[in-house]
Amino acid sequence: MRNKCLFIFMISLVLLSGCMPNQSVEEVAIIQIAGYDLGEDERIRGTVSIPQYGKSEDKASATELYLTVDADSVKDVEKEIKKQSSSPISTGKLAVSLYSREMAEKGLSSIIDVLSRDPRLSRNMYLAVVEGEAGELIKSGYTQEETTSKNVQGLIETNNHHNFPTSSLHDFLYAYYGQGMNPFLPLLKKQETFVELSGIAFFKKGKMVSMIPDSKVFTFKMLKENFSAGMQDLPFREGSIMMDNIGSQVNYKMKGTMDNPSFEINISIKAEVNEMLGLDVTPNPQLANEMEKAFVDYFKKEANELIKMFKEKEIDPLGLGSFAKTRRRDFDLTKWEEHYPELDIDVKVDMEITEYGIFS
Amino acid sequence: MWKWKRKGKQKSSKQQPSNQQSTKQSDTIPKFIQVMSNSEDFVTYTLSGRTKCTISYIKTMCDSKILNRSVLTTLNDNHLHTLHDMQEKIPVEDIQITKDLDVIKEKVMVGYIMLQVRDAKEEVLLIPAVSLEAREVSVPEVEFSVVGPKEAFVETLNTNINLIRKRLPLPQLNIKEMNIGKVTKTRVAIVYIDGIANQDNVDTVTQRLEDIEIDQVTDSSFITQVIADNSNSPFPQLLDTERPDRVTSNLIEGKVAILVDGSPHALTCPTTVVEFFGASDDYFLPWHLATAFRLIRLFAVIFSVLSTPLYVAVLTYHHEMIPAELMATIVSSRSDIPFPPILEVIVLELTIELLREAGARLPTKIGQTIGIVGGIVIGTAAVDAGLTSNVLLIIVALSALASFTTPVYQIGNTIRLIRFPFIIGAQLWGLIGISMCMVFYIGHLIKLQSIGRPFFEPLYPLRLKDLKDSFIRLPFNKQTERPVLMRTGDPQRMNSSRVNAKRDIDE
Repeated sequence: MRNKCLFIFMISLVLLSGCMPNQSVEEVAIIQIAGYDLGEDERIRGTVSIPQYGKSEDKASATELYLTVDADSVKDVEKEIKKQSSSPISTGKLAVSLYSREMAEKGLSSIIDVLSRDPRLSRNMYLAVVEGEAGELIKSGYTQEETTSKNVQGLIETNNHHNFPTSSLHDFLYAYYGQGMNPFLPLLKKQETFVELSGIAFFKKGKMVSMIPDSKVFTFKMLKENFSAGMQDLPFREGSIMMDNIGSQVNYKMKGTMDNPSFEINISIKAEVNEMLGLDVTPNPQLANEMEKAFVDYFKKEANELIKMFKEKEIDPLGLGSFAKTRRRDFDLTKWEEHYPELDIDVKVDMEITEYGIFS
Repeated sequence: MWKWKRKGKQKSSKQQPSNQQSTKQSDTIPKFIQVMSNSEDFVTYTLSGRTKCTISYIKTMCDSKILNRSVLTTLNDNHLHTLHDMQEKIPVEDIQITKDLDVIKEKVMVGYIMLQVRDAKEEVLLIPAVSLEAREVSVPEVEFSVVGPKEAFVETLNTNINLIRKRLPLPQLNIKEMNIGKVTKTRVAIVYIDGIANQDNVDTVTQRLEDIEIDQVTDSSFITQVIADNSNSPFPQLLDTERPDRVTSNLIEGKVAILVDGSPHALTCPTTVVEFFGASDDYFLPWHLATAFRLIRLFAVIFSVLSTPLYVAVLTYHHEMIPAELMATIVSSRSDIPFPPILEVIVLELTIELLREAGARLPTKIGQTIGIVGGIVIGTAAVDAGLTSNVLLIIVALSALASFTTPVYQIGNTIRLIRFPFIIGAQLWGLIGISMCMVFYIGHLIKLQSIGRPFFEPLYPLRLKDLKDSFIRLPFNKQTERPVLMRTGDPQRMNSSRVNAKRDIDE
C-alpha cells in the first residue's frame, strides 16, 4: 500500500510537472530600469525600459522598449505596464530606480515602503534622484552598445568606488529606518549626449531637503566612510593642484554626556599629487608640506560648511545619532534631535602627501 | 477484471519444495556416475594394466597433463591395490580418500579425478587435476592510473588471492572461503587481516554471505546488491575495485574484502561515500596535489549533478539570478528554441545518455567514433536545428565530462541517474525543488549504512580524525591512525613520534 502511494506520488510528480505554468527567461519582459515622475492630478508617471535581445546572430546590439504609464501608485504602475506589454513582466532584475527631483521633494515614503517589502527586488539595486524628468533620462538611449539601465547602473557603481559614497537600496533603507541617521541618494543629470552624476541629494525621512554639488562630494565621502580612491582639486597659489586619494580614514569620537554631547571627527588622508596646473615649481618636501596645509584648511572649511548645512536642515546623513546610540546607554532620540542643531562637532584633518610622481 | 493479478497471487502461494533438485539426484556413486554419463565430456573407464581401477573425470575440467604424466604413468608402472597405496604413490598434492558423496560430487564437478578400486566400493580417491583457463593479469582498465602499480584482478579467485597475498606477506591475513549460489556454487572468499579488522565487521560479512539465498553469482556485483544494507539505494554500499593495491591498503586500514571467483573485482567494506571519490592515484602524488585533485573531483560531482537542474530553475523561475552580463547571451541563444528549458534539458540529457549507452555497448573502436560523431555532430546539429541552446550544450557536455571524473565506476552510474530527480524538482518548484531533492538525498545518505557502519561517515557522524583522508589527503606522517570508522583492534598505524623524528646524518 505504501509503495503504491509512493509510486502514484512519483508518477504524478513527473507528469504534473508539465502542468506547472511558468515563463522561461526569454518569454518575459525583464525590467531593468524604472523611473517615476509626477504626473497630472497627483498621479505618478512611470517609465520602464525593457531590453529586447536579438536572435542568436546579433546578440551584441540590444535595443530597448520604453513604456510610459500614468498610475495612482507604484504597484499600479506595474499593473498598467502589464496592460501594455505583450509578455509577462519580471521585476526581479530591476537594477536602477529613478525619481524626479520634484517627486523626491514631495516625498518618496510610499515608494520606499514598496521597495522594502518586495522580496523579488535586489537589495543591491541603485536608487537615484534625477534633475528634471526621470522618464526623459531613461528614454534618451545614449549609446547603441549599452542599454540605459546598464549605463546608469555602471555610472553609479563606478563612482561609488571613487568620489561618491556607497549608495544602494540596502544602504538607503538602513539609513531610512535607522535611528539617528538620514539617507542620501546620488543626483543624476541628463546632459545632451550623456548622463552625469551631479551631486548628492539628502533626505529627511522620505523627503529630499537638500543637495550638494559634485565638487563637495569628496568631502562628504571623506566624512562618511573610509576609502582609498577619488580625486579632489584645489586652487593653490597661482594655479591648481589635483590630489589623488590613496587612503582616507575617518574616526568618530563622542565626548560629554547625553545632555551635552560633543563630537570629534578625525580624518587622516594619504594622497598623491600628480597634477600641478599653472605652478612652475619643482616639487619638493617643503612644497608638499605647504600643499598639505592648504588641503587641510580647505577640507576643514568644506567639512564645517557641510556640517553647518546638515544642522540647519536638521538632517544627519553622517549617522552621528546612530553612532551616539551605540556609545551611550541613555540615548534618547527626541533629546538628541533637540540637541542636534547646536551640537559641537570638531573636524580634525591630518593630511600626508606621500608622493608627487616622477620628475627630473 | 484483475484476473491476471489474482492468477499471479495464486501461483505464488503454491510453495514449491525447495530442495527438490537435490533429492532427485543420485545418492550412490554408481547412480552419480550414471547421471553424469549423460554428458559427453564425462569419461569413465576401467584400467586393466598393472593396477586395476576405474577412472572417472570430466574431460573438459581436468588437466590432461596431470592425468597423463602423473596419474596414468604411476598407475601403469606400479602394482597398486588399495587406495592408500595409490595416495602414496601418485605424485600429486592433496589427494584425498573419502566416502562422502557430497564431497565427491563437488570435487568431481570442479575437475578432480575419481579413482575407484573394486575392493572398496564405497571409498574413492580424489586427485586434484583442475585445469584453470585464466586470463593473464593485465593492466587495470576501469581504474587506470598513470603512476603506480599496473596490475588488475582477473576472473580466477586463486590468482586474485595471490595478487593480494604477495603484497601482504602476513600470517594474519585470513581467507575464509564459502560457496554461494544454489546452482553456480561460486567460490567466495572473505579476506581480512586478523587483529586489524574488527571482528564484528568480519562476522557481519560472513553472516550476510552465509545467509544469501540465490541461485547464481555471476559477478561480485551480485554480492554487492544482495548484501547491501539498503538494496533500494542508488548508492553502492560496497566499494568495488579492480586494483589489488587498493584492496591491500584497504585491508591494512582494517576493512574486509570479498573476492568472488569469476569476477575481476574485489569488494571492500565498510566504506563511506567520500571513499568513492578517492582514486588510488591520490596516494601516489604529493599530498597537496592529491588534495587539490580530490577537491576538483568533488566539485565535478556537484557540478555534474546540479548544473542542469540549476539551469532549469534559474531560467524558469529565478531570472534575477542571471548575471546582467550573461543575460544577452542566454536570452538570445534561448530565443530560437521552441521548448521550455525543462524539455530542452531532458532532450539533451537523454541524447548524452544514449551516446553513453551506445558507447558502452559498442566495440572499442566503433565506440570512439560514436563518441566523437555523437558529441560534435549531434551537438552542433541540435543547436543549428534550434532544439537546444548553445549555453545548455556546453553545460550538459561539461556535466557529462565531470561525471566521468569519479574514480569508481559504480558511483559514476549513480551520479548519472540522480540528477534527473533534481531536474524534475527544479521544474516543479525552482530552487526550492532542488533544495528539497538535496535534503532528501542527504537524509538518505545519512541513514545509509555499509555493513552496519555509517556510510556518510566523516561528515555524519562527524569524525574529525577521519577527515584527514577524505576530501583532503594529509601526508602520510599525519596519518598515523587507522580510520575510526573501522573500529579496528589496532588503531595505531605507526608510531607517530618516530614518524616525525628528524633523521639528520649529524646526529
